[in-house]
Amino acid sequence: MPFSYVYRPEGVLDWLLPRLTVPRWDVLSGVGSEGRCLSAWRTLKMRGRLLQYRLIEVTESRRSRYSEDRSRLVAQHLAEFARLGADDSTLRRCELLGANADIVALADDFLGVTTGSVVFDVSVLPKRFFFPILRRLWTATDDSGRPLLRDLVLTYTVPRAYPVGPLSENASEWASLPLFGGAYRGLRPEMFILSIGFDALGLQARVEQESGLPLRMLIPFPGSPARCARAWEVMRLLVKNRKEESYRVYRVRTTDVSDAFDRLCILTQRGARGALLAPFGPKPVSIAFALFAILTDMPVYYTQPVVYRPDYSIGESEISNVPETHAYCLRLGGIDQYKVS
Amino acid sequence: MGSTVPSIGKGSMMHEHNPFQELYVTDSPDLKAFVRLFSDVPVHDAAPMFRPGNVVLKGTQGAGKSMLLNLLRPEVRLAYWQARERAHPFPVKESRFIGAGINLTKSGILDFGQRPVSNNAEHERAVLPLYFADFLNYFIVRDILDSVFLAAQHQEAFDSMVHSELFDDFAVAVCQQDCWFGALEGVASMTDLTAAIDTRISSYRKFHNFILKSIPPRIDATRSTIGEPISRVAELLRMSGVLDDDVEIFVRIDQVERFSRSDVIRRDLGREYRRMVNKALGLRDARVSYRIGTRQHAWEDDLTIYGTADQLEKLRDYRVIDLDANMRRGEDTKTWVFPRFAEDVMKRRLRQAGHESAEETDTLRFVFGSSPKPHDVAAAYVGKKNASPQRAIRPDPAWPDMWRRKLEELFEENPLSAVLAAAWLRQKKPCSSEGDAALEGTSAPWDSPYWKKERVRQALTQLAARTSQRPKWWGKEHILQLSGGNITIFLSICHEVWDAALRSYRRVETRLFGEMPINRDVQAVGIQTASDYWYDKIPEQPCGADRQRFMDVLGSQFKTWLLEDDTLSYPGRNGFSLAQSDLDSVPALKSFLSDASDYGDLVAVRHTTKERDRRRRTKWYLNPILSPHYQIPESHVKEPAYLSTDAILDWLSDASVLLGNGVQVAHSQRGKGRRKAHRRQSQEDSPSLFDVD
Repeated sequence: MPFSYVYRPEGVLDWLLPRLTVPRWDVLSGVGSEGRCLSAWRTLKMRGRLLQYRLIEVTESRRSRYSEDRSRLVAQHLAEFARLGADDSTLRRCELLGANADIVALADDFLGVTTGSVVFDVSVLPKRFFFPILRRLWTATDDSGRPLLRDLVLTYTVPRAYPVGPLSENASEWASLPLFGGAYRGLRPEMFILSIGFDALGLQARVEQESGLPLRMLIPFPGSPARCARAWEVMRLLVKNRKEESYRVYRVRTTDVSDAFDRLCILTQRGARGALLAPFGPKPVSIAFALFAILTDMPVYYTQPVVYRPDYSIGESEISNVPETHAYCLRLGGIDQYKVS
Repeated sequence: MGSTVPSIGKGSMMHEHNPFQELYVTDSPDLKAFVRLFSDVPVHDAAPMFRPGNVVLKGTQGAGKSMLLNLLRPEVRLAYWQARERAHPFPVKESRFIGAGINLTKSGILDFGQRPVSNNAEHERAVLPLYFADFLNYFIVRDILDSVFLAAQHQEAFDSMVHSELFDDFAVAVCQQDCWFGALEGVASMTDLTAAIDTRISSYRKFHNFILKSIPPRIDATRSTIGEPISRVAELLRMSGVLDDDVEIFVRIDQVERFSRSDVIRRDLGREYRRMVNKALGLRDARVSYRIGTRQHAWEDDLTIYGTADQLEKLRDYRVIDLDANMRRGEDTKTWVFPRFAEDVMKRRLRQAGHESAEETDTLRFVFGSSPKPHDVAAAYVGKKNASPQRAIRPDPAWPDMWRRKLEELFEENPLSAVLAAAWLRQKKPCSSEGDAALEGTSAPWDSPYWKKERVRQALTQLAARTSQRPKWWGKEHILQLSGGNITIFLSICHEVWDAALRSYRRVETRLFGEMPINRDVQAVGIQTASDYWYDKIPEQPCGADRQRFMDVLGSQFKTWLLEDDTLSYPGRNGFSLAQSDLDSVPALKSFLSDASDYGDLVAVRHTTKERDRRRRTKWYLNPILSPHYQIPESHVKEPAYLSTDAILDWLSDASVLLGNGVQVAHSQRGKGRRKAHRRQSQEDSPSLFDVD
């Protein structure tokens, strides 16, 4: 099946904003220990495009050896938000392993104040949060059944660097992400599609156990040699106990949601063939997984880490002195930019 | 669907494939591969699985629980019939059953509790287990019906035990049962029945996906009690004639440990869900038999029956099949099942790959050869570098010259014996009567079987370290020992050894595979890689990063103990022992160690103590496969280090592991100055081999 060649607007946030007709946006954004948590919100604020907003701090469910460092960094970033004029009454907190209902409440709280044009910054939000929140934002309807959000843009800020070594640890058991359990008696999985990143905690055992399902791996490329090498090393370990003909590798650009979404459509014949989805790769690729799963009701599985390094990423990447915050238009003027059929 | 294991013909390229490439093929949904490669050896010790009555299948990760439970799946039975080349592995007289079950991960049952069903917390805690039970009932009943449909479509494969012409009569009879409290009213056919059940399950799932605002009132008013609908359906399948009278219904519930150990389920609720499953077993209902898959310690956590103070009773409520115990080596090696299992698994893999060695009587020995005698290992360590006797024996400067010369001569002749002799001398002193006799050559007590039996591996470890050699493992006996009764580990070792051999074969361009057994150095490389692989896998499991750091502390400590013990007095210090009462007093530590054992990082064994108090104790060792990684012996000899829980908590602190409930906060407040004292105390408290001699 050929690529769709559908144009889905996207670009660096600072470049894209003046090209969209929406004057001001409601923003839902995460606050955490990573410096890039500030980027999207700050850009919108400084350009005078910020309307309503909510900040989400995902707190630890268990103390770890990183707890003190993490708390210090989060406090620094909250102080920076305050310095930029953020109102602390907009801050919402939820535990990393909080109940699904608590996560959904974050989305519903935001839906209660939005005027319909939303920027959702997923840069520092764990998948356990941004997947269900995106589903709520995407599927929210008004009393007449029309989509509540007229415009929905997701943003993701590329960090300047990643530290050496594992970025997270103590993964939970293999489980579906909240609200992504898939349809009851849905399509029988015919393949196992996963995206690969720096870490793959718990994924290797699952890949080995599902050895009867053909493996389709989306690997980020191009990228810096170090990042590519790291992803390829993860892939090498994953297929260590697999016969060669049972897996295939597809390259997707790290920041290209549209490319990854099209790849999922092609692999599954636009959702006609069932698949197990496992997003372990870069956030933009995970956004594609989330959208595809929302549209097809396929299950998405993950091994949620319980502990993240406080320096999960370092700083923010810049293009011409502007933060490299990518913005992806999922819905504009009430028109969905992503469809499977 | 093609073969999952490469089938290779004879010829120069025939050995370019690794028959052990896929480790988990028996867990795979590729049923053809399952049929070809499944070894029925463990089935012989699992006979209760195919007979009426509840069975709990216990084992650590990779022990083969899911593999055995898979045998009950109707799809697997069908695959055996379709393959025709193999009969199903259970006895014909016990083949009259229908299997069904629930996958806790995929069914959505773990979502119960993720969304409030009530504004009142107390009411919520009371009512959620009831919804859980209702969902479980409907889901399993639906799966029973699916199994019956599959059997009806393939009568020959299922011994014509299903009579589909009676489906609608059965459905009408089912809906009239009072156990549904009217939920199935109006059902007039099998199609209606499955639709009604699907609607109910779907409603629950929609509620948990926040599509429905609340659980429909109709469900609320018709909640069923745990187990009863399942039993009624089983009974009516037989009474209505859909199933023959002698057909048993086996219901699988695997990974029960998830109720108590999962991060995605609230602990208080998980406990109640587990108790609800206990209640289903506690019904002692002959109409249906449950098959529970669980990890070792997780099962013992809580045997309480929901809503009561009663406990499940072993033998009365359920029988246990302990896969670890079945496969672990006991005192009597003649009854050790694992070598036969490993041999069978290896033969199947090699036969599938078209390898001629599959037809050997003892394939394992043919491929890997025998493990070396200790003296040969010692000679290999010394021979490579012409090791200095001074460095290897570390003679005491105070020893008389005659003794020093004797040890050096002995070293030239038999290095292992020299190391043992030096240790003996440190214990007995050179100027004793025993020392004089030994010096004159009238006796060599260090070579007596009794004295050296438990010290040989420690002596070899010391010799390897002192000659800057990496300890090596190779041969059939070592591979079986390192596998520790776990077939997945065994396959992993075979995989890595075979890969190493292929690499070597390509490099030297000779027909290595014509030269069995595989070269011992090649085996050693493969085994080392397998060990590192299992070490790297530790963080793959929940809380694995914490456990890996703890293992590092343990491995380092054990190695230090074994190397610094010049007198070879504590050869059992590749493990530690805790009194059960001490461990029970620190639940967070107990839970941590139980998890480490359940995930296969540690091996836990209850043992009797030599102490006067005769307290029950448990000893803990690293999983044998981790021994090459940490370069310590895999064998477990008498008397591990006897420790207090404080010493283990110190190790956890060293590993930066924080246990729950503020255990370590309280612990650390007592100060680190105590640590050295603990270590001294452990040296003093632990019985040494001196006590034996």
